[in-house]
Amino acid sequence: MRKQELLFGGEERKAEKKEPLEAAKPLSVSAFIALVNERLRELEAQITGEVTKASFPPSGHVYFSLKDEHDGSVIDCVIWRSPYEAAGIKLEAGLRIVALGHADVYPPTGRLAFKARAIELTGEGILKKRYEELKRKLAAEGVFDEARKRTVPDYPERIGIITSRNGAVIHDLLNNFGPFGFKVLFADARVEGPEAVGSIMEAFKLLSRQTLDVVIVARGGGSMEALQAFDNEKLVRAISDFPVPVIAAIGHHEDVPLAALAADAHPSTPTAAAQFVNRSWQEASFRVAHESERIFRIYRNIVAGARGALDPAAYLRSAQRIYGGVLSSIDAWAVEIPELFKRVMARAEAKIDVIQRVVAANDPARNLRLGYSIARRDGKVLKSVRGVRTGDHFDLQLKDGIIEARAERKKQVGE
Amino acid sequence: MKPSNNKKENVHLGENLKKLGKIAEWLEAQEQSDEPDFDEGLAKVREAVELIKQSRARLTEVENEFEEIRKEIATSH
Repeated sequence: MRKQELLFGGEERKAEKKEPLEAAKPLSVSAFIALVNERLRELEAQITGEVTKASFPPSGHVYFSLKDEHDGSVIDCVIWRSPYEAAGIKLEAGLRIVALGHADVYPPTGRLAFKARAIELTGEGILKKRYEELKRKLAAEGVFDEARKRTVPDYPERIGIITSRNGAVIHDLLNNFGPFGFKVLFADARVEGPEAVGSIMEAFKLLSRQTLDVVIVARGGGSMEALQAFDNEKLVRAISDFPVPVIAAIGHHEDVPLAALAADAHPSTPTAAAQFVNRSWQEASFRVAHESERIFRIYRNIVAGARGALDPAAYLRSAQRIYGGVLSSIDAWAVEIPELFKRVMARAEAKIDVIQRVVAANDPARNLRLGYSIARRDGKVLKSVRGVRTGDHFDLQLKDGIIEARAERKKQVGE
Repeated sequence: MKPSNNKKENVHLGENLKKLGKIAEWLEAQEQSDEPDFDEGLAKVREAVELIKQSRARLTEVENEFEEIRKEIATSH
C-alpha cells in the first residue's frame, strides 16, 4: 500500500479517486465498449514493430498485425485507405514500421485493434532501397527534369512558408529575410514522424488558396529516417505540380531528398533559402543606382556635345531647362537618393557653370561684330553646303540685320 | 485575401528597371545622333527621375509582415 501511495501520490491521489464502476448502475456491453473506446481515444501513441501479415480487401483499407521484436507480443492493426495511400508504403510481412494512432474495440466482435492514422518505415536499409526505387521511377517520368523547373520570380513579395512552428528553422528564415516588405504566410506542419506527410500536404493545400509568389518548405538536417516524409511520392508530386515555384530547403547528409530534387530550387539551408529570396531585391538597389548614373551621364554628354552649336544662347537655355528641371524634381526627394546619384547631380550643377562660361566666351553677338555671319534656311542654322540646293532661298544674319539670299552656285571645300 | 492598399506594393521594380534601361538606350542613340532631340530627352530624363524616385522609395527599408494560415474548422450551431 505504501508503495502504491508513493507511485500515485498517496492521499492526494485518493481524494481524486472516482467512484468504482460496480457502485454505479450496471452498464450495457455496448455502453461499456463505448466508454472504453472513449478512454482509448485519449491514449494516442506511436508503436513500432514488424509487420507479420497484411490483407487488402476491396475497400482499400488495410488490415495488418504488428509483432514486438523482443517478446513476440502481437497487436492487430487497421489503416484506412486515404492515410495508407498517402504514406506511399506497400505493407508486407517483414517490414518494420512505426504507426501513429490509438486502439479501439470493435463492438461486433469485441476485438481490440490499433487504428493507425499514419505509418512510416524504420530502418535505413529499407529506406535507402525505396529511395533509390522511387528516384528511378520519378526520374524516368521527368519529375526532376530541369526543363520542368520554374524560375523563382524576381522581387517576390508574398512568400509562403511550410515548416514546424516549434523548430529553429522558422526563426532562421524570418531572421534572414531582408527588410523588403515581404508578406509571409506561414503554414505550420509536422516535418518528422508518421504524421509529417499528411501534415505537409495539408499545409500545401492551405497555401494553394493564397496568392503567392513563391513557397519555401524547410526543415533542419536529419537522418534518412527522420527525413523520409520528403521522400514520399505524393509529396514529391505535390511539389512538382504546385502552382507557384517551390524552394525546398531540407538539410541532408548524402542523398538529396526527392522533394528537393523536384523543387524549383533547393538551397542547402533555410538561411540560404532566405538569401535566395532576398537576392533580386538586393541587386535592384545596385541596378537603380547604375541606371541613374548611366542616364544622367549620357544626357550630360548630349548636352555637352551641343557646345559646338552656333547658337550657344539656345544651348544654355536648353541646358538650364534640362538640369533645372531635373534638379527641381530632385529637390523634393533629395534625402532619399543614393550618394552616387547625388554626385552625378552635383556634377550636373557644376556643368551649368562651365556652360555659362563657354557661352560668355562664345557670345554670338560678339562673333557677329567680328564679321562672322549665321546662315539659316527655314529657321534652321546651316552648317554645311549640303543643307541648300541651287536656287534655294536662305537668310544671312549679320551684326546689324538679315540679308535674304539665294544660292546661285555651290562649291564644297575641304571637310 | 483582399488586395493590399500599400502603395509600395504597387511599384513594380522589374518594370521600372526595364523602363530605365530603355530610356538609357534611347539616350545612347541620341548621343550618336547629329541632331539630338533635347525636348524629348528632357521628357525622358524627367520620366527617369520619377521612376528612380519610385524605385528608391520601394527599396527603402520596409518591415516584413507575418501571418499564420490555419485550417478552417467547420462549426455548426
